[in-house]
Amino acid sequence: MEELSKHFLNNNRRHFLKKVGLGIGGLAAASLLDPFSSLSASNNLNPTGLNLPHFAPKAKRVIYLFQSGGPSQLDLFDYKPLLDKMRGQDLPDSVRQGQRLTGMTSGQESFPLVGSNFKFNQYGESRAWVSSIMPYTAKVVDELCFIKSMHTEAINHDPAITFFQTGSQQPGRPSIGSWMSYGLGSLNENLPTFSVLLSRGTGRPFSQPLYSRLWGNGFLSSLHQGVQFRSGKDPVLYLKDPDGMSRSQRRAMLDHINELNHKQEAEFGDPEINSRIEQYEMAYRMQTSVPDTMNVEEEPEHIIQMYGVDAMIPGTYAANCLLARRMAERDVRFIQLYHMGWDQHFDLPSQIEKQAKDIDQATAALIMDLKQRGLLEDTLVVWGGEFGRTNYSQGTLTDTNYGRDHHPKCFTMFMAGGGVKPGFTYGETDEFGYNVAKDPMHVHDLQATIMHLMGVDHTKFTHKHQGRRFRLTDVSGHVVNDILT
Amino acid sequence: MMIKNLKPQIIFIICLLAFNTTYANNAEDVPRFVLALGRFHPLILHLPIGALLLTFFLDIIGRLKKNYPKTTIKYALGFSSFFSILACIFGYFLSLEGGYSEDVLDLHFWTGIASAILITALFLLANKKEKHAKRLFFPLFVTTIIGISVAGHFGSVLTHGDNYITEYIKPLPKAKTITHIDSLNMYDDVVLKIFDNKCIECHNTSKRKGELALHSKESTLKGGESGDVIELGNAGNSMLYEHILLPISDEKHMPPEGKPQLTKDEIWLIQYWLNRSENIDTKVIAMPKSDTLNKLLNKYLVFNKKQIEEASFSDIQAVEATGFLVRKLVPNKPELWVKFNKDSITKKSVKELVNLREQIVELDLSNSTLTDNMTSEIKKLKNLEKLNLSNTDITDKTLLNIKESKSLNTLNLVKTSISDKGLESLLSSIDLERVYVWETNVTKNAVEQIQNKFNVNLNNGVSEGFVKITQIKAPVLLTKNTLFTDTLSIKLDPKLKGTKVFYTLDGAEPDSTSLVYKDPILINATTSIAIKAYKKGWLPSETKKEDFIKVTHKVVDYTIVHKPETQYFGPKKLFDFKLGSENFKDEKWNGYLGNDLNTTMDLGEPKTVNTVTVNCLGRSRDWILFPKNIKVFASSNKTSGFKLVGSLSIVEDEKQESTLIKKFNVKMPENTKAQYFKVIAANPKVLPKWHEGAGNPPWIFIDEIILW
Repeated sequence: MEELSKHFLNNNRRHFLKKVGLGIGGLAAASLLDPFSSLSASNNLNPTGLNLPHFAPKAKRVIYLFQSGGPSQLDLFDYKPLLDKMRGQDLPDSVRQGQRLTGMTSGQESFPLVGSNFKFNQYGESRAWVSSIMPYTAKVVDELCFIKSMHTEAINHDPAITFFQTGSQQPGRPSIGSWMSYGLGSLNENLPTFSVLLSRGTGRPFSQPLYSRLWGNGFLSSLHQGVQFRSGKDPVLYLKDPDGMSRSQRRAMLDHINELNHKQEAEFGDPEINSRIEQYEMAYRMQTSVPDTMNVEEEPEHIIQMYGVDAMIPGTYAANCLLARRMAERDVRFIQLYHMGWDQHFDLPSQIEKQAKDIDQATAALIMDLKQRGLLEDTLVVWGGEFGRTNYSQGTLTDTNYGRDHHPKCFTMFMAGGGVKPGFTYGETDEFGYNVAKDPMHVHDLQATIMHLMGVDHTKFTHKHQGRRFRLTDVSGHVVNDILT
Repeated sequence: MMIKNLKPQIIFIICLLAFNTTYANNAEDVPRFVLALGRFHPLILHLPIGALLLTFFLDIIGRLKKNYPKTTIKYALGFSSFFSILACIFGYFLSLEGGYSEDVLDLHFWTGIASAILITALFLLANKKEKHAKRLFFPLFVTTIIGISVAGHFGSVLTHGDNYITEYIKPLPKAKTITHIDSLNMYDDVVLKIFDNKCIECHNTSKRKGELALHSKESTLKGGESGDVIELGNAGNSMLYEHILLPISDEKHMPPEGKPQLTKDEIWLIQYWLNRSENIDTKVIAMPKSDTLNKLLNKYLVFNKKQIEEASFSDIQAVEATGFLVRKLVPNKPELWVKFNKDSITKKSVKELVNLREQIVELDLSNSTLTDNMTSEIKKLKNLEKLNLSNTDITDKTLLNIKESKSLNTLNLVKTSISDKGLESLLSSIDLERVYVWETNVTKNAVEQIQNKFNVNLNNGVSEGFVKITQIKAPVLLTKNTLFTDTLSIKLDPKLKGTKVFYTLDGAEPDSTSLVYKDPILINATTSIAIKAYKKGWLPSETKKEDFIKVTHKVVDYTIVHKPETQYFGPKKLFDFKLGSENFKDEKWNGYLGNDLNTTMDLGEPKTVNTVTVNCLGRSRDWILFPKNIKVFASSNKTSGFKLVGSLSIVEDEKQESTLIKKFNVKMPENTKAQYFKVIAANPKVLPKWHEGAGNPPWIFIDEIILW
């Protein structure tokens, strides 16, 4: 009721005159300053109406391969021979420096250091270190830009993932894909601008789940929320017409609903009504475009072989990688995959080997497949989890077995394609693999850099909500120019 | 009286001028307090200006209103006079710091002093009553204001530079165009650009590492703290070149480690410039030519970038109407990115693009029905940089149409019918950075040859050997329930198209001579099935084995000694013909903490039992072990007379980390017939030494007991 009365107040005569006066005055002033900008604003061709991108983008789309659970950088990319030498010895306090631990190891009496059980080797012209459980990734290191010095603020899964996705540890803000959808708009009006695919890892099949708010729109219009594509019969829920309803009937129904909605919109001016109309229309178009996108049957044998045998099993990471490529071909702006199960507190060697097998071939194949299609030059691929893992063993350390707890102080991610340096490594960790030794990169820095590659200045791209201007990187974050081509 | 007051001022000025022949050469000789006072010049100088302008305003208003504030004007001019003289003195002190361009300083100095004199003269005139003095006053006032403006302007030139005012008034300087290599100036147009990118960050006027600045000809020739850095005509003797060539690990290597390094080409050009230049202004035309030089210099040519105009909105709409998506690369700039958004394209819609011929820089016609006869108009898009024709029906003929597209740098021809010949002829007429030719008729040999011949990045797909031949996945059993009472139809999903599935019904290893799976397998007795998938291009799958047990005996009633822990769903789950999954919380499992499973089953009437199967889950991480042993007793009486008929000790390596589900089969002696059977699965009671919970009671998990 309150909002309604406010709305009426908004439209009394005095307000009207004020608005019109300001509008005309403002227009005149604006055209004085720059005779073209205000007139061509409607001509900026960005469907969102915002004056974005700020500068020419290097990447038109992003494929974010989120590795949920916190992959152990020490068993995949960050080779630390000192940890092998000191295996079993206690982590020196001078290294830890009072860093807070999770409740899972804070009670532990000792913190025995442990190197990886897996062999590391250098590959490619870039001589990047990769462990033996990532043989396909090792083949494509010259396409990758490793960031060894990622660090975050959160030490538990949910706040850490939320931080990566929304720039804040507390839920409620828009996800990065939603920001991109809001700012840059769609390149394919038949598919959602922000698409989400989930898979469970075989290393730890019953790991913690993910919540849809991670790809939520927060305070932005609900048009921009991530749309989850499922592996079952209905890739997108509630998209199918009920049995017995023809497409023309659906069309007629939508036309009438839209008519009612437009009336309502004219009366109340609530922008959510417009979003609703657009969503109905998008759903209608998706009824044909989604089955086409999901139809991996038409992929030839050698492509399946490239992504690996899992690619034909819906719901696996490999199948999702293949779908991600199909979406990228169709110009979906922000494609986010989540692969769960990287949370190796115990039995790390056996579990991580399975996890690595889940993703290794498909990730490498995705990058190479994008490359041979000419898509990699304007598609940014991002791989990484929400934090790293400790250099000491959680639980008992044996000759063959160990576990690792969450570690926010350093971890490894990699990117490829759209505007990042190929065959490049940025940042270093100390010889214990505990702290960043050189060129730290904070989560906000990563977000700022991703946005920069999409042509967006992260400090200028804001949305006003509840009296404050919000941005993805909150009040910090720097573009890391050193990794850009 | 007036003259008396003035005397010391004038004397002061004269003194100043007397010992001020040159502006002090060295700030070090000047007392610090003098320099400190000099810094007050910018503060003081605005006082006389403001006061003078206000006085002028009052003068005019007073004349117009016929109410002339004579005294006010006199006092105000006195104020101006005093502070203008003070500003002169402080200004002189400030000049002692040095570092200003002398010509402008001179002008500012003398105009400043002239202004001070004029103001003082005005002050003196203001009191005069003579007629001619009054007549003189106003023109003199105007002259004074002009004078002080001129002095002020030169002051601003000193502090802000001479183009401060005009910088934004003047139109942007047009980039000089150099379209031919011979007109390049080796230093100005090439070397300076290299320095500008890689050296100037640390070697400039304000930051002179090693006291070397490379931002201008003069400073480069001047050298740094160790003397000259270049010797024209001899690169080997030039310190600059020496430092570039040092290994990157050397501390003196330039640019330092971590900064953007010089490319091979850039080093070559610097070397050539040093070796072959007689003076620093040598033009390329005067230098000995070489192919490498010509090739490398191409990059430094500056072509006239024509100002592109904004596309008209109606033209854009017309293009969109024919099925294109049109986007700006950046709002407020005219460049457009255009993509065909439908499947079937016509010549007419491509023709529509010509209206945007200036603006289109990226064009995507991929995944459409585009053919050769539609592409002739593309050549009219003169600023086109990126063209995507992948997955269309075009051939070499289309490549002929883009032979003139000089601005093109990226071309995607994936999945088209272009050939070696077309590609080679295209590349010999235009320079391209990247061409994608995967899945075309371009041969592997040609790719290598062309790559060597032209400076182009050709992408022909993933190199062979990327994919290792791997094992195909075993088919998935769609029939989840492995227990049945009557008949069972077993369904398989081979997952991958073209997979052949072979199976045996006796548990033997299947091979390509075994039964072929076509329709669901129908069984009516307990069967061990083994399945294996084969497919061309893949290694055969692992063999998947599964026991399908026909449960012949129904448990009518049972008693149990220890109930399972309360979070599980009661002992009836043991006899519900449903097996659990690897997730022990799936409501099908019963867990016993430290207790044995001890149950007596009533089959309703005496029945012959061959095997008693107990299905168990082990997961040592969660303190779940397999039973130590399973014993089966039989009796014809519900409460007494039980005789041991079968037992099985279980020795399992429980250190294994994953979850295991196992069926333990206890074989009965032949013709074991009874109505009551008792099964005791013994809990190991304590967790073994190696376990993290050693000494504590373990769990055992059982989901089903099957008699058959």
